[in-house]
Order: sequence, then structure tokens, then C-alpha cells
Amino acid sequence: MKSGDYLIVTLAAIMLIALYVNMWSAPQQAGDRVRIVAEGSEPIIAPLDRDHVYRIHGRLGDSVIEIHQGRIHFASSPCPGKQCIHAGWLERDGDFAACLPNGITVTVLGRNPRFDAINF
Amino acid sequence: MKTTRDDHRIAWLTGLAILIHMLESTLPSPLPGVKPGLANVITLIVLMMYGWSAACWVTLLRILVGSLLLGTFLSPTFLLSLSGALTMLAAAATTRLAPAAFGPIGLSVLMAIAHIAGQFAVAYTLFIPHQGLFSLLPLLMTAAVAFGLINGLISQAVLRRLGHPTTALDPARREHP
Amino acid sequence: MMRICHGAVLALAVIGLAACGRNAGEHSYRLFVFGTLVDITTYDAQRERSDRAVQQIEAAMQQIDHDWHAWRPGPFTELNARLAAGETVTLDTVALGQIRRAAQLSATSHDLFNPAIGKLIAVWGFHNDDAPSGPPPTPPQIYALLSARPTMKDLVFGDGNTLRSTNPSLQLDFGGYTKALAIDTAIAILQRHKIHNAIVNIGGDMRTIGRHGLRHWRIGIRHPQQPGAIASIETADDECIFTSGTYERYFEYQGQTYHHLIDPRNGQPARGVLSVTVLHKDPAVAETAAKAILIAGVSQWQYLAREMGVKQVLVIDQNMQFHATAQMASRVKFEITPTPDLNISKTVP
Repeated sequence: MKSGDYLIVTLAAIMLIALYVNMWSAPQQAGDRVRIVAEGSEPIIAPLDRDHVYRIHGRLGDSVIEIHQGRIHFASSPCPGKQCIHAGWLERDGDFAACLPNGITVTVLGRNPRFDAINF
Repeated sequence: MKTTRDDHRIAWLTGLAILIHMLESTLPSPLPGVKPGLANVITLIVLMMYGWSAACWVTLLRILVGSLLLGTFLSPTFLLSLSGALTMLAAAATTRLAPAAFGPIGLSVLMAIAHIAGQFAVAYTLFIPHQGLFSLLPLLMTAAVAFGLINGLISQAVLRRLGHPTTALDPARREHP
Repeated sequence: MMRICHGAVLALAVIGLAACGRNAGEHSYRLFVFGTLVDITTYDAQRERSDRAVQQIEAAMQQIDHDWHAWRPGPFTELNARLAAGETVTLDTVALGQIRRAAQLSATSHDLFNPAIGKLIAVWGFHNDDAPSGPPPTPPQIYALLSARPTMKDLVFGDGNTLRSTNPSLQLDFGGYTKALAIDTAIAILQRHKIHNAIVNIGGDMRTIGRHGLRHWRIGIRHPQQPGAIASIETADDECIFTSGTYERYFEYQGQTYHHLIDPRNGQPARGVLSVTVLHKDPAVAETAAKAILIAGVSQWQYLAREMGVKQVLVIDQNMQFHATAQMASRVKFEITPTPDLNISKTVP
């Protein structure tokens, strides 16, 4: 092997290591995430495997959204209909709940979303 | 028009490369894009023995004739083959700056990486502009480096058999043998 | 030979630049218009171009919502007031065309899609952003509104873009029909921005154009009784998928559930069907057919589908029985196990 060969093989090895490190350290590789969108503000993306309670400010007031044991739901909401609370716990890819009066939506995201849109 | 002995040899080698290319296309592939690329052993041998221009001829002819015979001419497969070959040849061209520094193993690894990089860029731009494709890149590159090393070792062995020094000679000298 | 290879290197550089310069891929946007969610997804279009198009769409949709709003005071409530007063109203050609189209669709639906019964919708409490809390209207209230029989046939389209009503009880409420118009407007804006792969989804009803790269757009159809999808469809190059469902808007009063799809024949929420999904090229047809077929009910859905010329229909009735046209049955893929039995229509071609 010539000096140039050693150089190329070394660089190739470094490149491979870098590619794998980059792939494994990519955020949210495993597990699902949720996207919480409130009207007029940046969406919140959060992992579903970390329990957390979000207090989201909407048109009418604060909606409380809880992540617990890999599931998410509207725990309380200032809206009159409470349809968002009736939607119950969401956990599967593409599950979705909205509080339209308060302008807040919650969507479960997967690594490969099964659908591009949901018809209802 | 007169043909030299080298011309005949290059023609034979091109034929051999096409044959390998065809045989390899019948092999099942675990992942699209992962192939040993054994035809590139011929490219490498021609590059070392007859220079870069001859290697371009052999490679481009192989892809053209191979795709016509397989019926994939101008199909996505053909475009991917061609784009990989062009990046590979471009990478090989850069080593002409210091021909004495590179042997078949280094060249083979470099060309294999360039080949897959070119294919990947075209696949992503033209066919599958999806972020998920990037998660395949480490695997594709690992395969490229591994097959690059193997092809390099095969080429080195063949060149030794032929009694050819395993250093890229100044191709300019080889343009008109 | 050298020239060929130089050309190759040049071509390569161009490909490389192209790969870096395009931030194509998928871009999604979520807007709040029409009191609901509007999702726009573009594919294989530059981010800046998508952003610009979506900004224009949002403005256009807000304009449509303002112009056609069924109860918020504005041009449309004013139009209703003047028609009710017996005035002859002059309208612009576009608006008049849209009203005329609604009248045609209402006629082919045998008035099951009846946008003239705004007063009935209002008395049920659905002229409100929030779900009503009840109580439902009394039988005399409903009878009073039904006996006046407002339909689109009461509208007289006169010379010089004029419109008048011969029935003072007529009150226009276009509901989902307005969203269908907005979907077409949005797609036209995208196409003007040279975006040819997109979904415009207003409150669950959508039109898709082009595809998602190598594959078609994949649309999940929501389960009428639980979260998640019940089935999925891969849409063709330019196609609409509309669902009317009783679960979309409803209220409960003393243990009874009342939904928003009011049957113009008896003034009550339609019974027997949970949801109707229609695929069609034209969103206005898809929207009005889905609504009319739901109101028609299980025994008459095939007749209505034939009358309205829709060939791809999926009906889920209140017993969770599935009914479909043959064309729909060949396209729909169930996402639930066990796969339900499908009653395939023999009378819709």
C-alpha cells in the first residue's frame, strides 16, 4: 500500500465512524413524539416517553395537556364543549385531538407517519 | 484507422466488464444500491494500466451497452449507474495530481465511496427526496468501503499477475502508447 | 474523449449544486380558519415558495370565511336579510355562479342537500362556534320552519346578475359547501406558485394533487367512534375525499345526542348513518353528495349516489355495518382487525 492508500483508508474509516455517530445521536430516533400546536405560537414537539404536564395558553385560557406513560391527553380545558377531553388518551401514530375553541391541537407523530392526512 | 495491441486489450477488457456487469445484475441485492461492483475491478485495472481516459471509455461503454442489453437504458437504474460512474471517474481524476501516491486499494476505496455518493445524490434529488433516505447512508457507505477494499485487493493481485507495477503511472504518458 | 469527461465533471457539479440548493421535501402548515383546522402539505416545492403560497391561501380563506359566513354579521347575513325582505339583490358574477351551482347540486340531491334551511340550523343552535348546550327546539318551532318549505328553487336568478327570493323563510347557510369552494381557491393558488404536489385539508375534507414523491398520497379515514383510522385510501393525481359524519358536531341534552346534519324532511338530526365518505374530482360534488347521502339514510343511499353521479362512496351505518360502491370497495383498505364485511352495492355502477 502507498502513502495515499493509507490516507484514503483512514479518511474512509473516520467518515464511517462519523456517519454512525451522527445517525445514533440523531434526536428522537426511537419512540414517538407529540406535536402540540397553539394558534399563533411555535409548535411544541415533545417525546411521549417522558411524563410531563403542559399548560398551554389559548384563545379562551389555559388548557392542561398531560403526557403520562407513553400517552397524552387533554386533562382540562376552558372550552364549553370539552370535546378535547372526551377524545381521551392518544398514543398511536397519527392519533389526534383538538380543542378548536381554544385553538390547540395535539398530534402523535411517528417516525414514519402512516398517513399524509386524516379525513373525517 | 490502425488499431494497436493495447486497443484490442481495452476492447477485450470492456467486453469482460460488460459480462461481469450483466452477471452481477442477476444477483439479488439486500438493499438497492448495495452491490459488490465487481465490474469496477476492470475499471481499476484499466486505470492502472492504460490511464484515466481509457478507464472512462471502458466504464461508460460498459454502462451504455449493459443497459441496452438489460433493457434499462434511460431508466432510473441506468441514471443511477451513470451518475455513480461519473462521480467515481471524477474522484479518480483527482488522484492524477499525485499519481505515484496511490495504489489500487486506495483508489478502489475512494472510487467506491464516490460512486455511492453520486448515486445517493441523484437518488435523493430526482427520485426519493425523503429525509428517511439519509438513515440508509451509513449502511450504504459501509458496504461501499468494504467492497472497495475487496475489489482493490483483487485488482492488486491481478495486476501483480500481469507483472504491472501497482502504482498509477502518469496517465499522460499512457494516452498514446 | 477528454471533452466527454470534462462534460461529465460539469454535469456532476450541477447535480451536486442542485442537491444542496433545493430544500424540497415535505412542508406542512396548519391554519385556523372557518372555525376549524386547515392543514396544507406541499411536496417537492421549495420552502420559500410554499410559504408564500400558504400566506396567500390564508388571506384568501379568511376572505371567503368573511364573505360567506352563515351567522357572523357580514356580507352574507346582509344578503340573507335583503332576500328575506323580498329585495332584488345584485351580486358579482363569481358569487352568483357559486349560489347557482349550490342550487343545481341541491336539485340533483332532491333537496336533501338544502342550503336554504339556515333558520332550521340556527334554531338547533348550530349557528355558533361552540357546540350548543340544548335544549333542542320544540316540535312547534320545527313545524313552523318546515311548513314554509324553503328550498333553493325559491331563488330567482334574474337578468343583470340579480337574485331574489320568493320565500321569506329562506335563509342561506352554505356550511361545508363554502369549504369546498375554499379548497379549490387554495389549490388554484398553489398551482399558480407552480406547486403540483399538495394536500389542502379543511376540517378533515380535502383535495389532493400530484403525489408524495414515488408514492400516492395516503389518506386515513377516521374511525367514527374511536381515535385512529378505520380505513385508508391512496388518492389519485387530482381527487377529493370528503366525509360527512354525525360525530363532527353534536351536543348532548338529557342523555340524548343531537348532531348537526339536519334532515330537511323532518327537521331532526338524520338517523341511521354514522358517516359517508365520497371520492370525487370536484369538492363541491363530494361535499354535497356526502351530506345528502348521509341524510338519505341506509335504505336510500344507493339511489342518492346514482342521482348525484358519485361512484365512489363508503357508508358506515349506526350498527357499524359497511356499505360501499364497487369502485370504492376496490380502493379502500381497512385499518382495523378483523376486516369488516362490506356490503357492495349492485345498483351503483
